[in-house]
Amino acid sequence: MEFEIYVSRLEELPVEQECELLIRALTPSDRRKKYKYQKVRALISQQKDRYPDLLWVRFLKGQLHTDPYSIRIANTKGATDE
Amino acid sequence: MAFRDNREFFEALLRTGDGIRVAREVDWDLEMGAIVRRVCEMGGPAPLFESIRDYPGWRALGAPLATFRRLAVALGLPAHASVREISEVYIEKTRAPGPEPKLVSTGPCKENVVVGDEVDLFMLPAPMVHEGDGGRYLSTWHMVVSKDPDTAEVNWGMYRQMVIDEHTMVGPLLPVSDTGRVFHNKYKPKNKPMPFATVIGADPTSSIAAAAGVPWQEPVFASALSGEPVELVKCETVDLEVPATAEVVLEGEILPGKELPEGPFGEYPGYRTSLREPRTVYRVNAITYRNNPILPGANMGVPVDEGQLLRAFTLGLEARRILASQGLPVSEVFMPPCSAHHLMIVSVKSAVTNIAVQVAHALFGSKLAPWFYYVVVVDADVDIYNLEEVIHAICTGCHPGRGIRIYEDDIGSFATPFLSLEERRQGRGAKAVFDCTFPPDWDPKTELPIKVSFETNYPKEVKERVIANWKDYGFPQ
Ligand SMILES: Cc1cc2nc3c(=O)[nH]c(=O)nc-3n(C[C@H](O)[C@H](O)[C@H](O)COP(=O)(O)O)c2cc1C
Repeated sequence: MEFEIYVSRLEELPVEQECELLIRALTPSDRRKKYKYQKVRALISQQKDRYPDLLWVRFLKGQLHTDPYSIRIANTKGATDE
Repeated sequence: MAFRDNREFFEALLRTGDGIRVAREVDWDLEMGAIVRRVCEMGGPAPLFESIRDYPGWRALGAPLATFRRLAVALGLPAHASVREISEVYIEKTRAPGPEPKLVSTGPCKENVVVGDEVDLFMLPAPMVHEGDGGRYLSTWHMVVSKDPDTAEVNWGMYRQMVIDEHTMVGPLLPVSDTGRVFHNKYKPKNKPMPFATVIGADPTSSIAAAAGVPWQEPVFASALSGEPVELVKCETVDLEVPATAEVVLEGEILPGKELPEGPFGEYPGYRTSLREPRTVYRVNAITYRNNPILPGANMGVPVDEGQLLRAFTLGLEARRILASQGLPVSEVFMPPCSAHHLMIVSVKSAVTNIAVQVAHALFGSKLAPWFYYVVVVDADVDIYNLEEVIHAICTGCHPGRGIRIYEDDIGSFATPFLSLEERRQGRGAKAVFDCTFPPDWDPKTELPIKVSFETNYPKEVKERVIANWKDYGFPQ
C-alpha cells in the first residue's frame, strides 16, 4: 500500500520511533476513497524497503520529495479522533 | 431571462457555443482538473463531463462562469455583450431588492436523501484538481449557507472545502468573511457547533450572489439579479433553507475547538501561496442530491477562471456602489480579471484637488479592502475597459513621485503572493494609489496637456468626411 504525508521539513518526520501521523491513502482497494485522510500510530523509516508500505512525502506547497519513506501502521483512527 | 437551475443555464451555453458535452470517460483524479485548467487558459467552452471514472451516474461541469460571454448568458444578455453592458445590467438589476425569495415544500435537490451513518463524501466525484493539492476539493463552485443566531440573517458565501474522510471537510473560513465572522465571534467562544449547508450547483445567479461581496442578504440579491424569486426548501437536519433546484446539498455542523490541515490548493492570484495550515472543520450529517447529478467546479490558477473573473467583476461594481453612496463623482469602476482582483480602475469627472486620494480612502476603508491593493484613478475620458488606454493614462498622467501614494501596514489577504509569510498569516498588506488625473488647478491655456486623438482634434465635418470615404481611400472597412 502507498500513503502520503505533508511536512514543512524532512527533519519533522520522526524516523524509527512510534509516532502519530495524519496521512492519506493513495492505493485503497476502493479507488473512490483515494486521498482519504486517517490518523495512524506507525513506525517510519527513510529506507524505503524497511517497512511493508510506502510513505511519500510532500512539502507544504505540494512539492513531492523524490525518495519515498517506508511505514508500518500499528493502528488507525479517524482524522478528527483525539 | 432567469434560469431555474444550472441545467437550463448549461443548455443556453450549448446554444451560444459556450458549453460542450464530453462523452468520453474522464478521470476525477487530475484529468478533469487538467482539462478545466486548459479551458480557462484558452478561454474555451465549459465542459460537461458525462462519464466519470469510478462514478457511474454522476456528471461534472467545469469552469461554469470563467468568461464574460458565460456571465452575459447567465444574466440573460447576448453572449457577445460588452463588459460595460454586462456591468450596467448588473448595477441596474440590483439597484433595489427584487421579489422576496419563496419557500417551497420540496424540490429536485431532495430526489435522493442520505443521512447519518450512510453519509459518505466519497460517493461524490470530488476532483483532485491540481497535482499536489492537499486533497480533493468538493466545493469550488458552491455556497456555504448559514444564519446569524442573533439576527437570523442568512449568509451565502463561497468558501472552498476539501474532503478529509467520509464525514469531514476542511477549509479556510476566514474571520473577514460573513460566515467566518459569525462562527469565530458567536459560536467558537461558546464552543458551540454552527449549522451549515453547502449547496453545490445552484442556479447561476445564486452562485454569483454567493461569490460577490454583496450588501444585502444573498438570497434577496440573487432574486433581484435573476428578476424572479429564488425558490428555497428546508434542510433535513439543520434549520436552514437552500435553493430547491441545487444539484447537491451537504448539511452539517462547523466544529469549534477542532482544526485540521487544509491545502495547499491553487488560489485566485494564480499561485499556491497560502500554506497548508490548520483550518476550520465541517462535519457532514446529510447529503441530498438530484437524479443524474452534476457537480460543478472551478479550477483556480493563472487567469482567467471564475475566482478572478467573477470576483473582479463584482468587487469592481460593489466599489462603484460604495463610491456613489458617498456622493463621489465617479463615472465607472473596473477590476480587470487578469489583475487577480488586485487592481481597481476608477474613472472620475471631478474638479476637486486630490479626488484620487479621497476615492482610494473610501475604498481602503470599505469591506472590500482585504481583496485588492492598487487603485488607479483616471479622468473620465479614459475607457477603463480598454487596458491599453489605462496603461497610457498611467504612463502619461501619473507622476512617479507625487502621483503614487503608498500605505504601509494596511490589510491584505492570506493568498497574496507578494506578501511575506507573516503578512499573509496576519492578514496584513499595503496599498497604493496611482493618481493619473491632471490637477484641476492647472491652467488650461498653459499647463494642462490636451489629449491628441482623431476624436478630439478634428472638426466634426472633417471626421465625418474621413469616415464616409474610408473605403474609397483604399482601407478595408
Ligand atoms: C471560486 C471561489 C472560491 C473562494 N474561496 C474562498 C475561501 O475559501 N475562503 C474565503 O474566505 N473566501 C473565498 N472566496 C471569496 C468569497 O466567496 C467572497 O469573499 C464572498 O464575497 C464571500 O461572501 P461574504 O462576503 O458573505 O463572506 C472564494 C471565491 C470564489 C469565487
